[in-house]
Amino acid sequence: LIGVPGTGLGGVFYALLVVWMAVREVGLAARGAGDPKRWPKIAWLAALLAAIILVLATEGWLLRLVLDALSAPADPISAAPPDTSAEKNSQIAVMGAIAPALAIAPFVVLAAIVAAIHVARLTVRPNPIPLPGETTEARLGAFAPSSQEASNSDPVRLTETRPAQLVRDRAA
Amino acid sequence: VLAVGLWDAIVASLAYLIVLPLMAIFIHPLFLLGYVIDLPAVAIPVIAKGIERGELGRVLLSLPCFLAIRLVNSVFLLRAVWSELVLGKSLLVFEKGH
Repeated sequence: LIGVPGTGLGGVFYALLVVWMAVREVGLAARGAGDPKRWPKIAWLAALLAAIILVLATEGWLLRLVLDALSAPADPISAAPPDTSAEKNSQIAVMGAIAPALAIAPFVVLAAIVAAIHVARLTVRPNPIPLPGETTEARLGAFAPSSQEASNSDPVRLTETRPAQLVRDRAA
Repeated sequence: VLAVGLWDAIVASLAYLIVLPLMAIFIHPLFLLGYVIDLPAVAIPVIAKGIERGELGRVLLSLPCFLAIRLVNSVFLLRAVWSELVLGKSLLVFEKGH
């Protein structure tokens, strides 16, 4: 189950996961592997997501009203110059420029993190010590040493389990 | 999921404790809204669950506390990251305090 959202990366992740759940379920149903029991759960999460987006949109609209009120002249009827100073207007302009960037940033950062994880998955060598009941070859996958490499390395290390390795390390 | 959670925790902690106060001081006090701006996003699923459990009152009381505890959590998280990555004191070893 996906967790509690916020407005940062977690919120974007939450929203994308809900969308992905629906897309995946549609794909499974098209192949005849769908489970109708999952739809109420997906509908409930989608309803929560819709409510969150609606409330955040309302919040953004209210904020926009506040910003517009702050940048408007104090007395719009008279021909008097605006009450706001140039410095104040520039501050509000900065806020107006930052807001769209803050809205886009989570998507960009999320894409970068997912890409970095996939790059790391393809390039970082996993721990060669297998878990109990797991073979070294299964753990290393594509990184598994060739038969020549295996014959040159420590045979105990390739066959022992993690607890055995820990006991040996502690004894040393 | 872990990478997203860790990133969010570190960046949000830095934002709450450093970036937002500086922006509020040097750009505009409205940046202080950043402390509460995601409250609706957090509140909606929590309120929905609270209604389901018959604990709406407790949820409504807890929401303001969440804002406070989030700041405290930010301090603890940054201390943990500093300890783990900078000082090299791993949190994998539990040291009993008494």
